[in-house]
Amino acid sequence: MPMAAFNTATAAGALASPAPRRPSALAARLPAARWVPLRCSPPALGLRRGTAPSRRGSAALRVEAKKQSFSSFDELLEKSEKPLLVDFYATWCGPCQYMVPILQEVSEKLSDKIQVVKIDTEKYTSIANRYRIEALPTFIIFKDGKPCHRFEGALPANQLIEQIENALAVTK
Amino acid sequence: MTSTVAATVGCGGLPFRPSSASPRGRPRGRWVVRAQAAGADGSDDKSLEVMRKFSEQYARRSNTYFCTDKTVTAVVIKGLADHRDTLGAPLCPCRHYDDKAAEVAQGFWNCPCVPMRERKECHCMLFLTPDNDFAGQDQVISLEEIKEATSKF
Repeated sequence: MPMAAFNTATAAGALASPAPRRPSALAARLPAARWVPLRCSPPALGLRRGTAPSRRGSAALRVEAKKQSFSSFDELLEKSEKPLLVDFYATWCGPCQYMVPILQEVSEKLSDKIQVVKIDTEKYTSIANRYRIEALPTFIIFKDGKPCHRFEGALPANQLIEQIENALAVTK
Repeated sequence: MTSTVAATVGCGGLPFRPSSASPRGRPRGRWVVRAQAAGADGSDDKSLEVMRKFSEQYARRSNTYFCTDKTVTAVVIKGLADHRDTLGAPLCPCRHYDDKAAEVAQGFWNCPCVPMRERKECHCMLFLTPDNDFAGQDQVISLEEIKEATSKF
């Protein structure tokens, strides 16, 4: 597939089991347990192993629930039916990796309320610049295509859910 | 003329000064000159080892501890090593920068960064004060641990 300038992996809806959504992610694991290599992830409902050759700008072999391509971040914002939780991360940011399974869990629990999107700030520097991203991870919640809430740093699932629900509850 | 490359002579670890090279010419026998430039040995491991050692020492010195989840520690050390390789300094890997080279020159975010040095604030979760929920008991991490944890990325 010809590569658009912008490409995200999004986890939508029903995922039966935690699964990585980007090349650098692995199957979810408990703290202090071993990282499970990508290839050993158990098959799960709705998942398909990415067998397509690697797209420009992305690494090889990824297991993901749903992969969508957009020609720009703006298009993504425009076409999104639900509010978005955008995770700005970098591969070698420890807290960002720590959040991978937590984001998975939250995206499942709040699948009807919000869509989780991840932006690799090293690949998409212009988007990161546009939103003045500094500390990583930074999370921005978008409603109707506009940023409405923003916070930084790793946090446990229950607190992340609280942040999201509070942001969504605020009426415009 | 001083050498810009750190060199050690194999016998006794004495610094090797070109101007006082053996009057007989080439060193021989047990004299071995080892020169190390940054990244000379395949780069990955050297910077990784340097940042690993630094992290252990700095944790001890600052009375901070590694994360209970050592993968976080490993990923950050790898990020520091990468920046050291590519930029010449261990720029904090948990930030986005408009211009990395300028940031390195400026120095604020070179590890150990100013917030860490001044207030023991490490948002990378590399150096955690004992009262931090994420703080573990370790101030050590092995190269094997780092390599294993980061090999999947």
